[in-house]
Amino acid sequence: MNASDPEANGLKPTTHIDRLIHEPGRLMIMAYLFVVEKADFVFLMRQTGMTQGNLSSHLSKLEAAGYVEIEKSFKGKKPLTMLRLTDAGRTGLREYRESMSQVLDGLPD
Amino acid sequence: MVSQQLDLKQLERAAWRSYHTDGLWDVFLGLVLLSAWVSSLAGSDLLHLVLVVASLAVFALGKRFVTVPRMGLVEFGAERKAKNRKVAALLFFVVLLGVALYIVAVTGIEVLGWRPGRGALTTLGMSLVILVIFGGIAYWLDFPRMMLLGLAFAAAFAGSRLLDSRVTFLVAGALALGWGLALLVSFVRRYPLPTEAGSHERE
Repeated sequence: MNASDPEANGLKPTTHIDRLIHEPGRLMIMAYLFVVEKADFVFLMRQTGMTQGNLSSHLSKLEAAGYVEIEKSFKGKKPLTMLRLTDAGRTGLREYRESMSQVLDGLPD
Repeated sequence: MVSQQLDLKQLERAAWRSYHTDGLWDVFLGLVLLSAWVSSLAGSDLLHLVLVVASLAVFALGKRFVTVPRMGLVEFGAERKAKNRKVAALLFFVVLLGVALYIVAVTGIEVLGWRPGRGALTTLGMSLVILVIFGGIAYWLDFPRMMLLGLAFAAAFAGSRLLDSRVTFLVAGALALGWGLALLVSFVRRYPLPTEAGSHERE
């Protein structure tokens, strides 16, 4: 028996947890986009309290992973960035929640 | 965030409620109450209608030019949309009821053996109806402050009938409007316009 093997020690494996979603900032973005149909950049900035740069950086990673769809347009002369969670993003967050609850289920009170 | 419970319903509710911290509902309903008082001074129902429409325009323009640029654009989920449809249906029913009661009151016709009087019982009953309607809106809109506004409406209505003076609409309207404006100022200070609102230039 390998002493460093978490499963052998009776611990649930954590390797299947999506590290991209696990990051607190991205988890918050995913959670907000999960509960709405779509929202713009300002909405997410206000709700999450993130700076423009920080939010942009997280959104780029989520878009690259196929979790968030970013639609850029103009409303009058002002740029408008609408964001929406893709089906893969919704599934990803559900699976993440499931995985986390499985991992944490065994913790003593 | 990770250490806290990921309560998605709570998150959605908090996001929804943040849109009502602008005080525009209070301003709108305060103006509606004041319009009842102003039109009674002029003795014109048409003026009342015009002022109510103007109050609605203030509400819509405030949302468009004050709230959305500061809070951003969002389309809430299906459950929230269904609740909003219930509120819209309730408001439609209220308007129909109001028109029907107005016709009954003006023509003095009897409906199912009942004719609206100015007695305390009728006043109390109608005040309760107002409270129930506002209660429904407060519940479906997840907006508890609406219940207080309902109380202002019911008190103004009951007071005006019992005291035979529409000054109660002035008092209730001024209170609601003052409170709404204070909330609006606080909202504008708390959420200044983003420097590059909705900009994707940096992405």
